[in-house]
Parts: sequence; C-alpha cells; structure tokens
Amino acid sequence: MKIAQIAGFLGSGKTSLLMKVSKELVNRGHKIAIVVNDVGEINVDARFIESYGLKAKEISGGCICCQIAGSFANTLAILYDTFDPDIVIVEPSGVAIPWGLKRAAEYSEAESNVVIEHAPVITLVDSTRIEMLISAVRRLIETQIREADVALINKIDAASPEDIEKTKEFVKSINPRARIFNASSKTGEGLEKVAEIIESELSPRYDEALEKELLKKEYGA
Amino acid sequence: MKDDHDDLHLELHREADNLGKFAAKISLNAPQGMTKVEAKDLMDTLMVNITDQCLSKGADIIGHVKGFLTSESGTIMASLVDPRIGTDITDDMSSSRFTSAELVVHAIVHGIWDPEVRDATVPVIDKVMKNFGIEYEVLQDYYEKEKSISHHMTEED
Repeated sequence: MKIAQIAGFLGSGKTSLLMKVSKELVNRGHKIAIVVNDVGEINVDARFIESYGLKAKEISGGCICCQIAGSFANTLAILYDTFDPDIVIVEPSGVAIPWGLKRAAEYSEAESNVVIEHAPVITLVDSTRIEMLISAVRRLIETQIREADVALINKIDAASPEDIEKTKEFVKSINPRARIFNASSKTGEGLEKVAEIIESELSPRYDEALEKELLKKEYGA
Repeated sequence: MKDDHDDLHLELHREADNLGKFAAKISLNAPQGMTKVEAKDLMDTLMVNITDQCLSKGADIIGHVKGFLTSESGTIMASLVDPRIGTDITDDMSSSRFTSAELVVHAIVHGIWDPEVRDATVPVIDKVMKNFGIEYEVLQDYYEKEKSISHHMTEED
C-alpha cells in the first residue's frame, strides 16, 4: 500500500490539490483512500473533501507524525484490512514533518500484513506569501522543504513572477536535490504531473540513521 | 523512546504552537429563508471580519480562517488564507432557499494565542449573524479542547 503525503504549511493549498489529484488518480483506475489530519479537534477539510464526492478518514486532536502516530498507524492498518486501497493520500496537519509521517506510517506494519511503500514526499510552498512565512515560521517551512522529494511552488496563478522566482531560490537553497515544479490548484497546472509522480514513483523508507545524519549537519544535534 | 528526531519534532511543534486556534459549530435559522448568493455573502463577510479582527489583535500570519456550511440545499465552503487575495468560496448548493443550516467555523493564526482568536471570532459571529437577520446557537465551542491541544506539549513530554 503506497502512502502519498502532501505536506506544506497551513494555507499552502494542500486540500485543494489533494482533491483534484485524488480525482485524477481515481480516473486513472486507482483505488484511493484519503486521510486528513488536523491538530485541532475539528476538521473542516474532511467535510469539504466529502462534499466533493470523495471519502476521507479524519484524524484529529494531534499531529500524526508524532503525537498521535499510533492512531495513524492503526487507521492505515484498518484501511488495508477493510478497503485495501492502492494509494492512501495523506494530508498531514500544516505542522507535520514529512519523515516523521513516513516513520508513523511504517508502524502500521506491526498491526497488519500491510507492506508500506512511500510515494515521493510532495511539499507545497505558497509562493504568494513566501516572505511572511520565512519571517514567522522559517524553521518549520525549512524542515518541510528539506524533507521533500518534490517541491511544488503553489498558487502561481496569484503570485508575481518575482515571488515565484524567490520561492524557487529559497527551495533550492534549502534542498538542492528536490525536484521543483510550478502548480496551481485553480488553473490545474502541475496536477497531472503530481498524479504521475504519485502513481509511478517511490521514495525510500524512513531511515533513522540518515535522518540523524541530516539533523547533525543542519542543527548540530 | 526519545531521540534527536523526537527532540526536533518537539521543538518544531513548539514553534508552531505559536498558532492560536478556535473552532465552533453553530446552528443557523434564517426565518426569511436564504439564497445561495446570500449564504455566500454571509460566509465571505464572516471570513473577512474574523481575519481582520485576528490581524488587529496582533496575528502576523493567517494559517486559515475556514467555514463549512451545510443546509438542505447543499454545502458552501469558504477559506481565507491571505487577506490580499480574499475569500475562496466553493459550493455545491441548489438555488432553492433554505431556512436552517449548520456552520462550522475554524480559525488558526500565527502570532496570537487561543483566547485572542476566540475573542476575535465570537463577537464577529454575533455581529454578522445579526446583520444578516439570522438566529443562531453555538452547538459546540472547541475552545477548551483546542487550548488543551495547543498546550499539550510540556517540558514533561
């Protein structure tokens, strides 16, 4: 069962992208499940996704990459046992850390016969307010970008060319190995590419040694 | 078992814990009935005014201010992330008038804490509902839960 996480800070456009990409994957013949997480007790996004004709499993009350990793693992195990989707698209909370989510997903293997694979980690970066984000929540944004396989420069329909370029340069400076694409949930730009990546590519499993090495390099931990 | 990774998680979440949150589930009664156009206007007015209040109380970034309205005529979703861009509204609603609905409002912003977000949200809901001639009742106020979630990570974690 492949886990496809669409990461990014609050307001980066995760829900809109997820809905459109999910529909695209369903149209391509995939059996899709959606898991939506919010640190708050109430999740508006799950209601919205369901109003769009998709079924979403909501996990609230904590972040699935760490605080309630067990609930997430349990949800994945149940999804596998009862629905057996090809792909589980996960919208983590806006404060989740991608590698933590990979690790949490792999916990489900202890609860079921499921074997977890990961689609490339896709992190959305809001190009319309990159400067505000860097100034207020820089470290979180950097971590989400650093752990991405693919960075989507999102909302290009509303951003200036200068902001789009600035966002790309920021992403490159944080994670030179990430592939970078422009995207817009409004115009549909980049959505087919995202579906293709989720459908056909894999990202390595969680590697504790690798992450520790990265942490040491970045934070001197 | 804790490791460097967990410590980083904790630190990043604490950074993110500068986010203030408030949510409420509200039942609406529009005695004169409400059209889709009026309901979209209501949602936009709510989102814009809650956002303005949060910013005036010191928020420096809007995570999101979202609303989801469910009625017998269908649903409306509204989301405001950037006041410069305005409210994004989508609907799956027929043109028939409706008199009752349920609304969920969720605000999460950076730079102010849960009590300020609540104080920015509750009076706006009251004022906007009155201006639109809508009777309402707060069915559930998630303040205490949101507050406990925000504060869950203590030094003992």
